[in-house]
Amino acid sequence: MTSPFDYINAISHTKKDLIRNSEDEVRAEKEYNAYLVNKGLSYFIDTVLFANEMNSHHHLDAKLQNDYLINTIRPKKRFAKWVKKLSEDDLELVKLYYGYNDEKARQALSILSDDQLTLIKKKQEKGGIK
Amino acid sequence: MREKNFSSVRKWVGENSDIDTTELFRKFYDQASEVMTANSIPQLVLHLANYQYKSAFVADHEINLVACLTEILADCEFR
Repeated sequence: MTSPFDYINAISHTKKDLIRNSEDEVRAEKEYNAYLVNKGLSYFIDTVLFANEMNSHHHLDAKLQNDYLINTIRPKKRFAKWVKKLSEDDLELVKLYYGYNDEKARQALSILSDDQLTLIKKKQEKGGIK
Repeated sequence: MREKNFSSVRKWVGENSDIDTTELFRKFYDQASEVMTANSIPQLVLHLANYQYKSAFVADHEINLVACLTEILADCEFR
């Protein structure tokens, strides 16, 4: 099974065509997750515009999308940590704990560590059965 | 945006991926004269128009917003 990260690595660095070079082309094409591949490539300044091009032509076959990206993006080792959407629960927690509004709570969340968040969660526990 | 820091912009978009892009594009347009040099405003308007058009049929709005902000970072100057 080929993961989306294998496709991202192939497009970005190794330039191996994982669809055409596979034993089962149909299965390889099905395993190509355009949404995740495009998202992965959107973390780099030199690939985000190509990723968005495929994002706006999402109706194209996976093989064609893979071909476009593999033949347009310059080979380079790229690595980025994926950003997670701020959890609404954490936001509510910070708002309640510090008495902040949405904007201030977002700012506070961006500098609070996981340990500090866990501590705040513990302090806010009211007990009882959920 | 002012510091032309792509990574910070990408991180902000990722954390606020549920933001209404139509509203954001409009805010950018309304406040352009306050935050950008006069020469950059025509280019900004073209970028906003282009990406607002694209937002009607893209699969992932987060990538579209990052692409829009990247082009603005590259082509426009902030005060």
